[in-house]
Amino acid sequence: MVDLQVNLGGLVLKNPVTTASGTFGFGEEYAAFVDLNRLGAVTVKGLTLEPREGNPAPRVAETPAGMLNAIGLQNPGIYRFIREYLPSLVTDGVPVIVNINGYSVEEYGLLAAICEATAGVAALEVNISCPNVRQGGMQFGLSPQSAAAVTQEVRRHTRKPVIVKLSPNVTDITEIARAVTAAGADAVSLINTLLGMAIDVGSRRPVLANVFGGLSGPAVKPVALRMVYQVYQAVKVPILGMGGIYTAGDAVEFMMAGATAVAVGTANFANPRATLDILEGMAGFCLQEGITGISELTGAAH
Amino acid sequence: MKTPLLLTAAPVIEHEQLKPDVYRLVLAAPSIARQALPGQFIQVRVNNLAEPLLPRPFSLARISADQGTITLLYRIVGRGTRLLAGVPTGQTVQLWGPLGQGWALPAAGGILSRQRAGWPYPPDRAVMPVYVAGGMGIAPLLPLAVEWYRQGQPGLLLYGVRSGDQLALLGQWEELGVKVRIATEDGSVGIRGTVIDLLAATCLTGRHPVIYACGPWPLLKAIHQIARGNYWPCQVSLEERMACGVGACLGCVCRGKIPQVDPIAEPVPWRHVRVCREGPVFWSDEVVWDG
Repeated sequence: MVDLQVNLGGLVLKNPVTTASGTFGFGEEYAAFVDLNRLGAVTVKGLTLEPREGNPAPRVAETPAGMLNAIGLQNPGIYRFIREYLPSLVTDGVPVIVNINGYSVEEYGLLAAICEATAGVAALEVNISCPNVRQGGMQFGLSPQSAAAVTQEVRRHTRKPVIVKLSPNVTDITEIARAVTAAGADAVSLINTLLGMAIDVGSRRPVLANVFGGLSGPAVKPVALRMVYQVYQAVKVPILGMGGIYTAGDAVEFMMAGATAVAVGTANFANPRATLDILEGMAGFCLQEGITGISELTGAAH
Repeated sequence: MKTPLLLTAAPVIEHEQLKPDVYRLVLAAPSIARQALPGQFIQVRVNNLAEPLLPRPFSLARISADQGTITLLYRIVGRGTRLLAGVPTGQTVQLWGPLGQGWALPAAGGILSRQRAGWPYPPDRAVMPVYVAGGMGIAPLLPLAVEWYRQGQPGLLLYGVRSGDQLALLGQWEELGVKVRIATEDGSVGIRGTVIDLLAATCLTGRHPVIYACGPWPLLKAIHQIARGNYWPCQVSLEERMACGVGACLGCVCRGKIPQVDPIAEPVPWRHVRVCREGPVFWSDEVVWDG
């Protein structure tokens, strides 16, 4: 038997496979394919204080080995999430990581306070890296100062594990990682999507109504892996690694680069059972390699 | 979701090239064939490679619970469909479904029940189904016609294509006793024009029609306007770029006028609804057609 348990900044997960925010809805969308309780954690779609309708369609475009999205944080608002979606997830028994998005530093604090007061929330993922909204979103994640300010405000309002989700759209991601860690983050997750675009040559117009969108899928994996490797050397907190994980081998690479746990995102669209297939493949890899505890893989490539 | 979703490897039973770019694909998928309702769709992947990455959604052009098969009718439009066209008989494809909300089906005696307040059409009466198809929009309508046929109402098909040589599988409609009228843009078969012209030229007064339409957005918008002007109930099956197909990614939205679910929230004129989950079939007056 392989011990699959990992500790992500105080959040104990029975295995390192989680879902990337925005790719797994509120869990129920995939419950027909995946026994949610077998996952390490479910990270839900990004939430804001007020409901949001998001960007107009078209919102997605397929690109070589990947896709662009510009959803724009469509969500029912944190209150309706807690009332209508959280209870059934809690019943499933899987730890729930709530992804929060503020328009201001204060709003991040308020969202954190709401999560602190809600029993079913296991941990917070602080999204300072959404590329598809005009206000807030990625703006907070592009400078060490504002990233630290958001982290500090969230930290002030919760004792639950705080995971800060970093943007790859920066010159030096380790600078941001150091800043949020110093401000009290228990863990960091990376990467969010890379800003990109596609053009329809027939109409001579951008494919996405929002013009730009976030690139995800296997195409971004080498970039994500490099950033996890760099951040592992820069900070002591655990890393939730993501960005183009498509196979169990990809997930193992992320752990070897320095991730304590991984998140499966766009791969869910290509295979609704991707999370469990990857989990089974990772356990199989450990057996084959004679590894007794999966956490031994973390940072093995350094 | 009421019906359980299934993920399965389905063998290709038949794969026939009907036209230079139009194919008919029969897949063995007994559990999906048993559960699927007319108007629902499935997601298909030809292989598990990372390129092309996303599955392709296809509506079901035939659901044979007895034979345990489903049929897809598709035109090659891009990488996904080109790849699918190359899959030989005997090979399997990955598919999952049935997904989304299907058409409003007739009850016994060809009665259509519409349980929604405020609709001016008298509820629960015998009506005549009028199928309006633009191009490949014909695909999801045939299983619906089978259901109406079973209730003794074959109805009428208005079918618009670019040219007469693109007409496909009309025999199956005629077998059901459906009256078929055709419009072609080049005038090679039927009337010259679009299916919009065909609907406008068809006298349905006193026949209590219910319109079922599938095709490109501008066509559906025009059909909706004709239906609304005549107080005919009308359903449309929408197309949108999709990623997950199961309601998770929120990639395929349209503006929908759905009832206010949150009593506390401010009333809003529309919401983004998911074509893959709340649709692909909508009552046409529940869709915001402008903007």
